[in-house]
Amino acid sequence: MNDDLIIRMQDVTKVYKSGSVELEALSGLNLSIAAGEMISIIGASGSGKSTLMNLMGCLDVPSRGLYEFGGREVAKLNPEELADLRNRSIGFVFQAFHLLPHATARENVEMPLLFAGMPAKKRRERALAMLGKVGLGARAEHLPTQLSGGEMQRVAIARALANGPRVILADEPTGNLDSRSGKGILALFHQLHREGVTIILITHDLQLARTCSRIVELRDGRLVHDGADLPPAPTEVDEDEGGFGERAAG
Amino acid sequence: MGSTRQGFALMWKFLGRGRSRPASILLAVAWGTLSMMLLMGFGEGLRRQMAMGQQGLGNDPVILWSGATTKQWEGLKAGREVRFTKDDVAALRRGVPAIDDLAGEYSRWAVDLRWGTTSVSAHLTGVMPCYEHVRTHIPRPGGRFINDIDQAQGRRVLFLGPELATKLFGSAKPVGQTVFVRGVPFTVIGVMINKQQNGMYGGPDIAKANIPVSTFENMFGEGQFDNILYTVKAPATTKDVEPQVREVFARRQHFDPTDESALHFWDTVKNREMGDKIARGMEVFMGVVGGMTLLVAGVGLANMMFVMVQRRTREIGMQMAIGAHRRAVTSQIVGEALVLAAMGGYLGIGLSWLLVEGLMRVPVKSEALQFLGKPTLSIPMGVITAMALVGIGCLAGALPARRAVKLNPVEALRHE
Repeated sequence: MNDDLIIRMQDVTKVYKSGSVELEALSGLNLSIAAGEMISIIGASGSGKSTLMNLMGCLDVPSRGLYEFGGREVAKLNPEELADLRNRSIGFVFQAFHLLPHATARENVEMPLLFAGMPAKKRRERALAMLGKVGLGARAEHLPTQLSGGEMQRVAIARALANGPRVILADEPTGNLDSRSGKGILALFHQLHREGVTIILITHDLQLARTCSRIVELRDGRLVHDGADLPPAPTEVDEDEGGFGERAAG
Repeated sequence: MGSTRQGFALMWKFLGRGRSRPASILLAVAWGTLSMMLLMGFGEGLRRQMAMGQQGLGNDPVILWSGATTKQWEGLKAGREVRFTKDDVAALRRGVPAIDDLAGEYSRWAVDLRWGTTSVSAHLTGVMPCYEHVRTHIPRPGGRFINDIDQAQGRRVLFLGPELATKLFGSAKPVGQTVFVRGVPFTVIGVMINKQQNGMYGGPDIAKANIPVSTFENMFGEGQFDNILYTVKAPATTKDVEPQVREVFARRQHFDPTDESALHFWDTVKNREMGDKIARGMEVFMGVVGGMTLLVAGVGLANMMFVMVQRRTREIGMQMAIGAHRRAVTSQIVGEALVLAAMGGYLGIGLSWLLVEGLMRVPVKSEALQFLGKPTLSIPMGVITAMALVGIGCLAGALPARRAVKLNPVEALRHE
């Protein structure tokens, strides 16, 4: 099992500095995630969920402590190596989709393939295959503005899958969707999980979290629960102001 | 290498797709290039026109008119007229070795010229062969100017200004025709090429009829010259030669050499030097205005590039999150700036060319337009302008792009 660890965090601390004020967004976190897991990370606004996601996604490096992704210590990689790591091993799904508005669904999915250096013809085939996988084969040449919210998120998932990543990191993937589209996206994640992709869902939606086999809860930058069930005590998840307060805290 | 290529490929793919910014950047560059090209083009046209007009009068002649004395001198009263005779010209030749070409000129207004049934009243001058180069009386192909043999033998030959030739002959060929000057038959030996003339005396050369000095004397009798014309071997020294000329006349005709009114000099070298200075000043002025135009265009371009990159910060963040190298991102933006500036530059050059060609085809008989001359587009100027704008555009794109890629992708993604 230990050989199969894809994410290993030991005593990870992340400190943000704003002028003279220091804010410890994560303190002394220990977390290991094995390949093939489907895990949800929950917590209230400002609990450190987003910070954790940024670290796990190699978008940022810890201030202290050890973080290994697939056995490589992330802090020792330069920006280009980090970019390559993100490109090949991690697929991001954002709450706000972040699709290029003037590019078609196919072109959006091709983008990580382009950065991986894949030739044009293969890119096209691969992108169409990925779009087929998320059920959008027929809409490959549509622009994001011509797609529904659920469809846009499917395009984003297809883009995340393009390079065959080991991990999919999804940050509130259903946050901007109606409940029906949200269910569809969740079903898609479960399907991918069955196919062996490691899925990490960052959410404050307990319904969503409950469908995962492992649930991790953060509170004030510390890990307070790690288990197969929801934490026994009522959590302070704030459904209403969700993402916004969290962002302000970084 | 790979990342730069990826950046260019992405840029090329999405160039101009659903974005209004690139169009405005393109137009800004085109406008800057166009203004610069037109400004420089008209400046160059004007300068050439001025140089040509200056040459219309001749190659640095000094023209001398006689006046009247205003000072008493050697027991003689003031107010005596100074006269120019053949002997004076000969004395000038002997006394002032710095003089190169030298000629007395006769002039007579309203002389009747007749060809067939057409009759024209014209200004007739008696001139020397040296006028061909000194006063740029250049013949059209198929004709010639008055030569030394014409002068020596007093031949009845006639050299016409182009305007006069048209009046007299219409579309017929003048050379070889017989024209009666005051009833005396003359053979037309040449017609002057059309020329622009800024400075003139006795009317423009294109409207004059010229015959040899000796022929003029045969017809009208040997009198006094209306004016004398000379050139100096070193044109820059006309100012130093002037007192020597005064001295020769003062001695021969007994007047005070310091009497300014006795002789009037028109030193065209001074005019030319002044013209050169004005032309140079104008060039500097145009350069400064052009530079300012370019600067304004550059600042506008830089601003637009800056705003464009700002607006794409989230897009940049997304690209970096999914694995774009920094260089792939910066090369997209710099590449776009390059392409837009190059295209805008071409557009500007093309538009200015069209505009100038169009303007040349509009038949406007306006003196002002004629004086402006033919705007001369300089391709190197356009290339330099476009290159400068490309440089500014690159810099303007590269600076904010560098800043954006240094942002953490997370921060870039959150950018509003």
